[in-house]
Amino acid sequence: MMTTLQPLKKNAAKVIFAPMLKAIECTCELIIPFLVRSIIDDGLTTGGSHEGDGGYVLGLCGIVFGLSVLGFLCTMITQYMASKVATEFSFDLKRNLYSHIGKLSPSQLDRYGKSKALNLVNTASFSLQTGVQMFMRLLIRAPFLVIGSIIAAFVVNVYAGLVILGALALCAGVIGTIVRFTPREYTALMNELDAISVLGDDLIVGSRVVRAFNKQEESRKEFREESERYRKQALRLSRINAFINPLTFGFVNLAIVLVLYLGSFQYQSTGISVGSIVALISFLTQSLNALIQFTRLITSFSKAFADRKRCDAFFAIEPDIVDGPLAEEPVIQDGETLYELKNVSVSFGGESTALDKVNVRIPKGSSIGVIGGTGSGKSTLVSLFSRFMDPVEGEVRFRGHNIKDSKVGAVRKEIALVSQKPQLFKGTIRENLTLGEAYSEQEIEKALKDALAYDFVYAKEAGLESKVEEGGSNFSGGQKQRLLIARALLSNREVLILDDATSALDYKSDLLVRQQIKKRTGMTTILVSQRATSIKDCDYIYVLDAGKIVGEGKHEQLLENCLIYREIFQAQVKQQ
Amino acid sequence: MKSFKKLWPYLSPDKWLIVVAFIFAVASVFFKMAIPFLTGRAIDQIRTGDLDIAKYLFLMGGCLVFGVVFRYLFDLMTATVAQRAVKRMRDNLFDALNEVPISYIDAHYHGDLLVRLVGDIENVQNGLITGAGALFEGIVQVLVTLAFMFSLSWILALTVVVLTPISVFVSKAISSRNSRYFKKQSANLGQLSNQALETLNNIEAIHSYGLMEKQEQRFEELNQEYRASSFKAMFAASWINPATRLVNNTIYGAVIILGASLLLFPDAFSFTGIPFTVGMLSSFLTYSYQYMTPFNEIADAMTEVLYALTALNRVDEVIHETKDVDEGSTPVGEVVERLEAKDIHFSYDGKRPIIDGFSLDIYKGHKIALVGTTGCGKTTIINLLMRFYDSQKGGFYANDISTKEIQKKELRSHVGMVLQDTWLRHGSIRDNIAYGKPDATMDEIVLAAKKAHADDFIRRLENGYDTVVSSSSGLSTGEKQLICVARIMLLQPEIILLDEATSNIDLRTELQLADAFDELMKGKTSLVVAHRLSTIRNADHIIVLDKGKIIEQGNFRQLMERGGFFAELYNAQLA
Repeated sequence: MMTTLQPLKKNAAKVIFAPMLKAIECTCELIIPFLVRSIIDDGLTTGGSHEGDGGYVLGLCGIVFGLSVLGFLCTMITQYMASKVATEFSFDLKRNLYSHIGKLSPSQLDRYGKSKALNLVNTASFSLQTGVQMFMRLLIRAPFLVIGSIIAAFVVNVYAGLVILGALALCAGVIGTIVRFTPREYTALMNELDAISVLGDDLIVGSRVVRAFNKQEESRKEFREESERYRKQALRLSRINAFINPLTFGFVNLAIVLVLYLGSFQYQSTGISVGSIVALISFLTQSLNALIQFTRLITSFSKAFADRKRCDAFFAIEPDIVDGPLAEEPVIQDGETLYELKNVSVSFGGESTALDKVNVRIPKGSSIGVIGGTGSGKSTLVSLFSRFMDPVEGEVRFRGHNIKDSKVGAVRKEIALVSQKPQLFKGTIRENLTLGEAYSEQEIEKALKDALAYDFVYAKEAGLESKVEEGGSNFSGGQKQRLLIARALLSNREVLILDDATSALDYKSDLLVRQQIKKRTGMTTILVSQRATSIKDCDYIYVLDAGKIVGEGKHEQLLENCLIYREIFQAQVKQQ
Repeated sequence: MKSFKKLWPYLSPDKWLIVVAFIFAVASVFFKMAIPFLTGRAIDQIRTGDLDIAKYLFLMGGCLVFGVVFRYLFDLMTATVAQRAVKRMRDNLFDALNEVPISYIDAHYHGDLLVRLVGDIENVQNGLITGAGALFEGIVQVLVTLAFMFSLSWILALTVVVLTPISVFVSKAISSRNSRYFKKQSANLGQLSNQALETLNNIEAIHSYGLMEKQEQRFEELNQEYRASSFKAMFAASWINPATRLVNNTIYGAVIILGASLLLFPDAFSFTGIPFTVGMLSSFLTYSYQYMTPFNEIADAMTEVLYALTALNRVDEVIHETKDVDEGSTPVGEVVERLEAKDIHFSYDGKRPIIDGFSLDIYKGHKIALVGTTGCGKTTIINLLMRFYDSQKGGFYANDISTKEIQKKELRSHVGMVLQDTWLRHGSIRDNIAYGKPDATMDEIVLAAKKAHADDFIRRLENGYDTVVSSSSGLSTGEKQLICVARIMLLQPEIILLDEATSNIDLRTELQLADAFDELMKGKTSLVVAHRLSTIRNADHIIVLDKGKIIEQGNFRQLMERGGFFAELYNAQLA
């Protein structure tokens, strides 16, 4: 299984090496207080080894400056590597996420939530990218400076070392405790924010209905309660975070007081010199600043950590539709069974099932009609043919074997599916029709003509090169459906499935399109519709109602035997 | 300053808290800065050989305790003020969205409005309020530190003051160069995100036609572009910290050199007045560091402040949008006996007329149908009747009172509507059906769902009536329409508006629904916009609209016999 951090492995060396350079910078910073000590004790103190020696003082200052520059250079190399590795990592992570999206079935994506999946690519990968960079350039700084300061303090004096160890341990303890509590509170806060977003979305999208039902006052009240909950939660988080600054400040300064105290009675006996006191204070302030910087990282880190969990959970979803072992599909002749559904049931977990023990046989080269009302299970049935889902019970057989034995791609490449959703890509009409395959102009024109799309396409100035906006938003419902049908016809596949794909066409156009399709012999067609007239000429018709097949046969037979079919048909005839 | 004016209304109710926060800030910084001062004094005393520094230690301990307490109170107080302001801002924005004219909402992308309520206000909080907090505290810290430094040695203080801007200048220079990279980075991320969105929206088509590989290639290209720009942005930004640290270290070095010179050559510097000591140098080393921190923090916060300013303007724009005032006050009476449209003229943009002299009498209990081709103004009539929009001339009259003089709330309480754009609030199906009648019993809800032929499919869902749905939930459009119909069946409103309410429902269900609708509309006034003409055969009166004008009217038989536009439309649908 893929994990979120897997792409980091190839850069493992850099991930380790970069912080080591950072350690050099920290070392430089730790040496500086010792130099300051020498300046004070040796150069500026009566009886010092270089008392009054301006050159000595200046030389040491030069070293201070040199160390600063060296530290700067090391840091910049770290920064470069961290940025490189982080962007590289985010690149790979995005690619993995995107390809996992492609591996999951549409129903799995629906269940997971498409907007959630999109957020992983957009936001989560970015916060992880920042997390990795922060990890490489900053994470080591705080612990290294803190531990380094403690060691340095011990070098100066054992007691002072103990004091500083105690103070910094307490600081680390405070920060550690707070870090443990914040992520949970932060998640709770984000949940409240989500709730705010839902209320806002409802108000904006439903503005007409909210007003029509005079619900403004109510929605206002509801929102105020929610924004209050958000505020309280935010305050909870702040109350916890507000401990960091004062407590760490308190501990560090307590240590300074103790160091001074040590200095005062050890001055002669153990020799904590004035320079040492200044150096010790430097160690403490440096460590404190590093720790505080560290706490600022925590928000980024806890975000990255939460996002890592989310990505891991996403990667952990095993694709439910996977390739079978069959290397080659058997060839079958016209009239032999292409599809067979044996006692197939599909359930989404409700009281009743979406499809209930359905038996369907589709011979190669035939035209099959499926009819039923809203929510009768037609679209679920269609999903089985393209293997967008598998049944919970029963078996879908394809070319004589269980469809699960086939390669998924091998099944799908036989099918030209026109679904209810107007799935058009941003680009040109030509790109949307050919989908990157090579077709001759004649083929394209024929497909457009058969789908009754020729006229409106060529009425446009740019013809085939006309722009298509996202989701085809610059075309009417009927035009979109015609383009989708043209695309399906152009692909020239063995099986054509029209899932309510002519609902936005008027009856006459619907009829003309069907007549053109009928001319294409040898193709298996599955027509799914709510209109009886659309499917009445099919070789065989299945009538679905509430997930069950309540009738099957030819049009005339069904008129006679199937009450529901008769009702559907009469509903249409009554119009006439 | 202008932005501050925009922010102030949200802060002003807490102005006393802000004053208190200021006092806390001054107290906390004073005690914090007093400690290095006392340390310096103590060091000097130790150097004289007098080791009894208990006085200083006690003073420092006191400063420490007060420093801790005031710092906590300050942090808590700023957070309190900030979050109260954010809540006010959110509530105001939500109210504004509740009160802006529908035309405003129609004219904006919904996502864009939502971002203002959620993300933009977050940005204001992060940037402006936290940034302002940093500024606030920073100014206090700089002033207090300056006071301490000048009290020690003016010449060293002056050196620090003169040198510090270098650090600010360096980080400023770096970040101004960065903004270009950041723009490129977010543009690339936008493209990448669009590609992912398109894939998700078209996933069935992509799998059906085996396009995933091509999509991945395209994604790979965009991803590479993003990687390049993101690296530049990231690396460029990472200069700020080390560069300012380098400058700070340089200043630190300068303080040592100058301090040491003061100590080594006191005669040359006698003009500075007070003799310099090692203790003072120690205090100065701490101060020079503390003095610079706020500058760097403020510089750091600048990017966020910039984001926040843009966000604040976007929020403010909605809040100050003209409100949809509910000025009417004439009571309409208990029952609307008569509804009349008098010579209505309306245009959305003020140029192209949408409704052009529309007049109509609707009597109580009548079913009126509006018919016409797309864009003929049918839906606009509903918008005007509900007063989502107001006509430029003429208007609707209820019981002979202009609807513009009736309180919108009262007018709407007489009406129930189902629109073509189905909207479900985020909540259970049960709550959605009971939207207009929250006190309905479960039996009533189920009965309404049964009338709307929705009961069947609802029971098939995992949690039945408790299934949580929303406008973008997994239900099909037809199913959502049925739930909206159930809403009306439960509400039993006095006047019923149906705007293509069954356009996504199959014929057979629609036909079955027709009986339920007939029962619902019995004795009630109804206005029906229909897509399928067969559903309005039994209307009492059919209005045929074309380009905002009534071109034909009468009952079904009359219109068919006339053989005009309506008959043509009707026959075209059956062809």
